Amino acid sequence: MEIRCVDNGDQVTLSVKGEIEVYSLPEFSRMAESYLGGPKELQLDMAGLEYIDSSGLGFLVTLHERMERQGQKLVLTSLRSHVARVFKITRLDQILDISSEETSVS
Amino acid sequence: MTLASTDRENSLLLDLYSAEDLSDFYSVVATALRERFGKSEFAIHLVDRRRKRFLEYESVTGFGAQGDLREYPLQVHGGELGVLSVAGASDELANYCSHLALGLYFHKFIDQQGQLIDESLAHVQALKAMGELLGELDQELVLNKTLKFFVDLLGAEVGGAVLCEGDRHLAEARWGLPEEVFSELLKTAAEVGRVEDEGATQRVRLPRERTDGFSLGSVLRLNIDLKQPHSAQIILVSGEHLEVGAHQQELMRSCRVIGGIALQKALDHQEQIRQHRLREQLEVAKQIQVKLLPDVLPLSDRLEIAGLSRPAQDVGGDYYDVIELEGGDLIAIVADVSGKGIQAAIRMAGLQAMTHSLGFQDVGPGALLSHLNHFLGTGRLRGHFITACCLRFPAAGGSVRLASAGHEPIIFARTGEEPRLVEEVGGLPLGLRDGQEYEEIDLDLIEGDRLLIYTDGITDTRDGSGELFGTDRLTTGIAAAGDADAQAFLDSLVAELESYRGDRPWPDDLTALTFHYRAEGKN
Repeated sequence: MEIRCVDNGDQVTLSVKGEIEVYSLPEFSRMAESYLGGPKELQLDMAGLEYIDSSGLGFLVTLHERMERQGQKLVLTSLRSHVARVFKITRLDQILDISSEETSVS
Repeated sequence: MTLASTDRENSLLLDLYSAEDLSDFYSVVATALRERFGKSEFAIHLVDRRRKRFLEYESVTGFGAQGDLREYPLQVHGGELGVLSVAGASDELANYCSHLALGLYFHKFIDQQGQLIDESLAHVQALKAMGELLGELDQELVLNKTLKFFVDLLGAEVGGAVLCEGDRHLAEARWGLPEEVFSELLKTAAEVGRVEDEGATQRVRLPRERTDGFSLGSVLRLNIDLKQPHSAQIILVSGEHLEVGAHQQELMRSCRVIGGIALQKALDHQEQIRQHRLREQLEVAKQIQVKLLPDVLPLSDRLEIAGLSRPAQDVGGDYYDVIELEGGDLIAIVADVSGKGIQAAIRMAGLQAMTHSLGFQDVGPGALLSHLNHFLGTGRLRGHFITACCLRFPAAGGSVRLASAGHEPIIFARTGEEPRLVEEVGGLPLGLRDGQEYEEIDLDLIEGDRLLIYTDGITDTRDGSGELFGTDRLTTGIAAAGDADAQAFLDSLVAELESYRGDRPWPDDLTALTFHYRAEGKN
């Protein structure tokens, strides 16, 4: 897994490449949690995300709620179709803020 | 010289210690060797701090240079001082040499005040003493001994040492230093932040009011290098100015390294113990989990049922069950508890208990999921959730009612038709939001219909190139099952997954529950 970060002050974008699963989650969560209480919006660019498992989904839900409590916004963008499917099946697309445009790469 | 004991060993020892000075000492040794061991000629070589040997004493000039002498090591606390050389062997002499070495140590290297005279030996001894720490596996003991060693080495009056994991203190050792002063000193050391001389020493000044009146003349801080996230530091305090000479600097550097290795070794040992305990706990959790899965599935006239759950590694959180209600209806559930290990096993155990108590209250699948969600509570799973699919088969047959909480859609297959994913029902996974209602749908069942409920471990299985097994292969497999009974179909599915994954590990827990409907009843 690779994470790239673009910090625009009020908005920070983390681009995740590879997989978020039980073994790579600690690295991703440390990085993402470091923006708690920070920028107004944290965008997760998931164009490079190939796979996310249930622990990754659980983390996103918790992160979303924690950020909401701090008045911050968590937005997921550019989900590949099979990753988007996971959010749809689990109905997490109803909880999380997912930008509707999907990337054509799948 | 007075002999307080007639014991032969003790008298030898007392002779050696009660010598007036070094030359008296050698004459005592010469007498003992001559009279008790029949060796009138001998030589003593010592080693310097570069471990080079030099001649210290010989009873006859040129004796020590002879080549064919028998050598007996002279050691103190395992530290090598040198050798005694004589002509010919003697077992008893080896024993005497330990006394000789101790006496030599005191007469040559320690003065009346107990101070080391010869620093070259001190170096060897200090390293040896520190080296002994390497055998210790208790981190507190190692920290304590390391601290004491540096207190002695620098002639400090008091000191303290702390071993940390990140910011957390794992162990603390104090030598005459009040706790509150020590913690104040640690804070100050952190504030100062800058470490001189490759992290070896640092001088800290503290205003007197911050040390509760405790007089601090000179404070030294030493960092001990450990693998991240561990760190250790030693703080030495003396009322006088602590003078660190060039030789001590060198010695401190070596001993810091050895202290670090010893601490790291003790930490690694603790970690091994922790890992071992964790493995034991996981084994217990695994056994619990296996016991929670059904041994035998209920027998039904109209349904062939086959189920399988296999944790990927250690302990996973998949669960499936089929419960027969009083009137003959069947409740089936497949659930995927997110996370791994003991926590997942505990959540699964809770889910199993709740499902069983709810199942008997004669509720539909949607209501059962709502109840489970309510009992799990919002946020109680701490970042985890449970996806679940629940089905109810009436005893009369002909249909099934189902509901899903964010679970993988089940696959429904009918002879002569394309298998399909039942995607029209769903809801949030359990444990995320309270007050969820789960819609239900009914599917008619006719002879030969097949249902497959599974967890994502199946679809996420990858082949050698990393490609996912996916739902397409699953539907193809179910279409090809023909009239195979439920167990045969499940076996062939597992065989296909096995050959698909090749050498790759299972990605996740693997769970499948399948039903094959027989309208006319099974034979």
